[in-house]
Amino acid sequence: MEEPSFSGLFTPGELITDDPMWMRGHGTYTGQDRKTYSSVAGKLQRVNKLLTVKQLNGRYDPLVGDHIVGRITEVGNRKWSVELGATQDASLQLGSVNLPGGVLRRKSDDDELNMREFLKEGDLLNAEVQMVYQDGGCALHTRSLRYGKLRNGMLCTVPPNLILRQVTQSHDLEGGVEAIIGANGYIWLRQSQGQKPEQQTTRKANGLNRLEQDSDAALIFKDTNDEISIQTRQTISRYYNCIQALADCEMMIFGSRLREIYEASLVYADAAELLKIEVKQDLCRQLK
Amino acid sequence: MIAKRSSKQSVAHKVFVRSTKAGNAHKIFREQYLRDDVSCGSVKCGECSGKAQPDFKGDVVPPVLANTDLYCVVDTNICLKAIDLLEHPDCFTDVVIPHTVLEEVRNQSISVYTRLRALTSTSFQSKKRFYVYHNEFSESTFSQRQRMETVNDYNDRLIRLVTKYYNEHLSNPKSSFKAVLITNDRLNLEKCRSENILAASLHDYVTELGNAKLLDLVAIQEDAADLKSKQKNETSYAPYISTSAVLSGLNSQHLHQGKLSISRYNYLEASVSVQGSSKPFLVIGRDMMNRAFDGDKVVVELLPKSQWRKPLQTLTEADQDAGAADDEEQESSILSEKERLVMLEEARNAKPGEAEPTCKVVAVLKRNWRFYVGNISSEFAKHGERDSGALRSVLVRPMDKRISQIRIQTRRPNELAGKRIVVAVDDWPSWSRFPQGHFVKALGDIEDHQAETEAILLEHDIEFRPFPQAAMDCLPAEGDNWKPDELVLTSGKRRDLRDLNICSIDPPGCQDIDDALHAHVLPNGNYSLGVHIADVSHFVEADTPLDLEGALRATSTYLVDRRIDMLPSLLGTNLCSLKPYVERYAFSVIWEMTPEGNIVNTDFTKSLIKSREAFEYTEAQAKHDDKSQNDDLAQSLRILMKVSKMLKQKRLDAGALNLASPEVKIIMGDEMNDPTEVKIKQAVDTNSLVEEFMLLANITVAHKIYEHSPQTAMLRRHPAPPATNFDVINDQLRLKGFPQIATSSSKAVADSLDTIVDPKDPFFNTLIRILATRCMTSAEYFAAGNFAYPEFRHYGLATEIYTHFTSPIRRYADVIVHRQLEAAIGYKHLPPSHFVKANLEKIVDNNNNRHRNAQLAGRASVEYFVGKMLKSQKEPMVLEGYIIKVFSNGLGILVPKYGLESIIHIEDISSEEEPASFDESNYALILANGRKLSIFDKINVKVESQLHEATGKRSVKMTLG
Amino acid sequence: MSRYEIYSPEGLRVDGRRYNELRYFKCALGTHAHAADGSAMVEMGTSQVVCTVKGPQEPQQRSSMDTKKAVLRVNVHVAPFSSITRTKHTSNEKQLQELSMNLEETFADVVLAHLAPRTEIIVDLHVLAQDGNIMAGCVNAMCLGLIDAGVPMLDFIASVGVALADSVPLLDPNHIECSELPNLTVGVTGKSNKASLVIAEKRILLDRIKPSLDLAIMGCKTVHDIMDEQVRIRLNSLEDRIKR
Repeated sequence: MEEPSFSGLFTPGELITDDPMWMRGHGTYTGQDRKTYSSVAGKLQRVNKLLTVKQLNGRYDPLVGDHIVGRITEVGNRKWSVELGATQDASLQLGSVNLPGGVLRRKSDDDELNMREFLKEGDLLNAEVQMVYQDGGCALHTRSLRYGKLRNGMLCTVPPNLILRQVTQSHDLEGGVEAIIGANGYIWLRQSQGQKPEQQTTRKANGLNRLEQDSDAALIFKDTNDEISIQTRQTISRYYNCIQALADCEMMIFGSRLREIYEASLVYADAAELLKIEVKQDLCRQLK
Repeated sequence: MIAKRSSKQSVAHKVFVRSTKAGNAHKIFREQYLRDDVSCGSVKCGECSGKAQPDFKGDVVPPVLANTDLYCVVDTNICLKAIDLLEHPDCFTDVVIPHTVLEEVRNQSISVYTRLRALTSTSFQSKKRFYVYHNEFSESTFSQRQRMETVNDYNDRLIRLVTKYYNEHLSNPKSSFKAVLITNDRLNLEKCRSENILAASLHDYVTELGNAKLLDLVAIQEDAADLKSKQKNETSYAPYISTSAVLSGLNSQHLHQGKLSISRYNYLEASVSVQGSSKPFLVIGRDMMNRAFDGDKVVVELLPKSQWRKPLQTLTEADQDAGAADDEEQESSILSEKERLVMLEEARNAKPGEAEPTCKVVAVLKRNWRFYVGNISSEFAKHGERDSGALRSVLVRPMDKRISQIRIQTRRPNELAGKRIVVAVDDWPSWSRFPQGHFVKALGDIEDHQAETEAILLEHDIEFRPFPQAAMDCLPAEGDNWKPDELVLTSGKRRDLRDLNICSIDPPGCQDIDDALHAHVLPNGNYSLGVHIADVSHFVEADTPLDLEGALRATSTYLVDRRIDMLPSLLGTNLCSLKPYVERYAFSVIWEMTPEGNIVNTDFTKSLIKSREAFEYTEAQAKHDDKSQNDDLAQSLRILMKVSKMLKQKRLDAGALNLASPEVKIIMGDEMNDPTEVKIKQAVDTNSLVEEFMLLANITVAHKIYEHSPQTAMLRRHPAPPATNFDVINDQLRLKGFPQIATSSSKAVADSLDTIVDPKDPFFNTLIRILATRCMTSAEYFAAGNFAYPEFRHYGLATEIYTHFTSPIRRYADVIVHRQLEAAIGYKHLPPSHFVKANLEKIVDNNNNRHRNAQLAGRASVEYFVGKMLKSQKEPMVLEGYIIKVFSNGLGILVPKYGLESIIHIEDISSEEEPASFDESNYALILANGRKLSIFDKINVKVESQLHEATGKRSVKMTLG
Repeated sequence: MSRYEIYSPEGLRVDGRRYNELRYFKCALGTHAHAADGSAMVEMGTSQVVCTVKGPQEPQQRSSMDTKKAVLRVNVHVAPFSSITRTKHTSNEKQLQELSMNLEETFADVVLAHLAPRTEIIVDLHVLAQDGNIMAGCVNAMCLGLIDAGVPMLDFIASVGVALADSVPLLDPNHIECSELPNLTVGVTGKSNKASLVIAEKRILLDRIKPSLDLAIMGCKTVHDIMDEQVRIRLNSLEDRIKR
């Protein structure tokens, strides 16, 4: 009875253990001789009696509770299909979304026909993974004011295994920029919402609770961008380049690191400098 | 078995750009894996044998080079030019052939390459130890080509590296070992000197060995530049045009290619058969032939129409041409005086409007050079005088009249005068009047029987050396005691036919019995007829040395007194031969036929037979005729005879041709080998019996193998002759008042031939048949995939498909057909090499050539013996002859009694005072006394044997009797 | 007679190898990480094949989706500069289609497609240089590409060609040997001794096949070891990255 080496790296077809007492999870399979073999290239993980081989390279693997950023690909029968960079597109049910008029509003037939009013093909949104199906697909929900359609910003994609899962995925960054780091590697950089005087005035103007919610909700599904100053745009670009630098040097991405690298990058007055490979490597080296 | 991987360091790359025929550029990128285990091949070296790697079968190549003190490293030119010396047992015992050299030789001459490789095999171990050293793959001798270094320089440098390596690798302070590079290349020798590498020219090497005979063999290969400056410009032929000019000319149809055939009657005339033109192009005159040999593949350019000529009407034989010595006289023209006169005469007598397309040779694509047998022209050597030992240039006159004299250098011309010698041709530069060659060996005195026989065989490229040991090893170990194995009958694949009443019918004294027949009546009234052929393919397995030797020889050659076997006689006269009273393996074709002659069933099977009797033709005829004999063999013969007559009639109705050639049989005198009589072979009915069944078997098998392998079946075809071939003979017949030969089909030819009779002369019809044969095309073997079905037709036999199946003992094509039939009936799989069409095409070409050569050799042998018989006569014989060809200066005569064909020269029947005139349109010569000698006339001729002093050639002299 | 001495009596081939030696084999994973989910590059001698794998991902065409398993689609592209002369139309459509189909079938048994239903895996193979038949290179590149993309598989498939010179099998033939001799491509799954892929294009005698298969299987094992080594190197570098 072989004891699997728990820190081991395995390649497809390699024998992990011939002890039948282990439970086999992802990345393993049972051969005809009842022994356990690895089916992917990756690292062996053991959780109690469960053996899995976690592949070190691959598409995004959704976990319940992940905060992700995705793009609508299809408007379908009471649901939207959202592309996440996973093996399958995620589904966002009509019932899992906040619609104008309150959280608990019943969905009428009208709503169904007007789905496109809220989210149409090509829109970006952030959401949370509600449920993961057995075949690898997942279901999302946006039942919180944190989630919804994304505006005023720019999308940056990195390989998903560079994302470190944190408690909060949205970060307020220096320079009036906010970042939402999706667990699937899609990162949304946008102008800070706190700097919106128009919004505040409208709120004060209406003053009703209901309307408050309404307008917030309405804002959530608004299509047009607000005014964004040149400096903000430049800052956003600079953050974009920093993230790409981290990705190219294969370093993990998380909030504090993002702040660090931004500060280090300020040395270079022109954000375009950050596109050079030597500069990227230099910045990353500094972080260690 | 282990699979090894290569590491990055050991790979070198050869990158170059090569242009193709079509004009495209190909970038060739090749890897070279360098190794440290390339053995030096010497027994002296322990290091290399330690590193030796086993091959696929697990064998390790043993070291070849012996523990001697001198190894020779040869370069490409030495291999190409002096291959005969390399093969000579008295020199070049331990030789290293760098792989670079082997590759270069292979690219330039496949035949030299094959001979070189043969030397490296182990069969010569005691005398010849040749080792191929893979210098390009060995780390010690590999070097990249440098910038701006030409390919030749690079190769020379690599060869020098090899020499250096061997010297360093095997040097030993105790021994005086040295490895020497043998090369004739000036530059290379100089570089060796400056790099301190031991080198010598071929001449020096041979001189040092101290063998005078060898020195003679060394073809003096001075640098071309040197030679040119030394030698006076004798003459100049037009230089050959470049390859690119040839290609573009052929593409644009401005130039044509074809094979050159020089006329037997006139060596100044040749024809080139060009694809797309029904009439061959003429090439007239030595300068137009431009150094091309008979059989060369040439590229020709048509001359302007104003220069077109008619075929020459004069006889010119090279013998009679006084050859000019080269060193003494300076000849500015190519033509000799005599030739010029001939050409002039021709030009004067040429009638307008009858000219044929005439061309000149502008390049030679492939030379048909082989060994030539001849003797030194008498002007150069006096038999009996002592040789001075100095090197002299002499001219050798070949036996073949169509070949020009060849210039060789020798130190002992007087010794060789009067002998038949073998020479090889090296080159024919455009400034030289004669081709340049070298001496190979001496066969023996002229007129010596052995020498003459060998000469005939060599001239016809017939392999007559004894079978190599490797081939003999393929024969059954029991030898003469071999018996068929009864067990094979149990598998069902071979049938037991020992109870059939099989018998064979052959010429008297026949030992190699290929075929046997049987016939009996079936219960249902039909006949069961069978042809059983010797099962040669059982003994000769594909791709064994025995098979390869047989494929090379392709046919047995029948000379008057000798038979050169295709397969060892153990097979031919014993194990395969269907001898009577013993059990033998056979391949049988059995038909079920109605009494009216319709075949209802055909069966092919391998069998075990026991022949009851081996009849001679006359014996079988006698048994058939004798009414008192009624045993099953006699009955069998009668059925066979009846059926064969039916088959023959069917064939004649379909248009089969019945042509006659004068086949002669020589009656040998006593052991001293002078024949006393020459007889024409007589045919009996039983000859026809056997022939008909052989034909039927061949046709039946042809159908079967074509059905099974439509691409690769080996068949035989006889293309119909173009009607124009008969033009001359029809014109002659018309003038003489005889009916013409109809040419629309073979039946038309056969029927019309029957009508051409002279009531006064029964032989006349036979004569016309003989002449008609010469208008035919020749039959050839071919692979079925290369022609469309209608072209399979055998014109002469009037059958739509044909092959050779019935004589595997003496014809290789039949062995292939046996194998194909085995596959067709599911007896045995076809060997893989037989699937490749290219292989079969090679075999087909070889078979066609060897078959033709064997026939020519047989005829040459008969001619020689007839000549000998004539020589033994004290008085010239007076015989009946027919005029078959009329020239402006002679008559071509056929003497039917001995099948003799020769020429009456005009000088012998007329003179200056009494000239003869040539009546061309009536094909006649008119003598001064008014006597008219015209075509087909029967005249008396005086025949005697004559020895030509100048050439030492014996020929037949005919004059009016 | 052919232009070259394919297997000399001294046991050396046209490029200096012996009968049982592989050409220089080089491979790498993750060569085009920015362009695809998985990528690999394989060099066998001077042949070079690049493989990019996209997937498993949402199928681009709804119709091609299979609810039970992932759909594997292979496309082979041969570059016009890959051979000794530049051609406009590289190996004809049919040949490439056949090649793609063979690859799909071979890997169908090895890829655990049922673990990713309703998805498709698109494999693109680019032959940048051909020296000898490209099938073996394609199989190896595709195997590594799929591993790099994280597609679950039963095992590696290692493949190598073998040519037959009369009765001598020659391992890993180059294009001179391929054009003159009948040759096979053999693929072996993992460490077993069995061939899971055998493709022959010309006629070969059955009796001669066994020793060639044996040699080819040995060759495949060596290739498998090299590929496995390379995968581990990649794993190690990825692991290092994660630690940072």
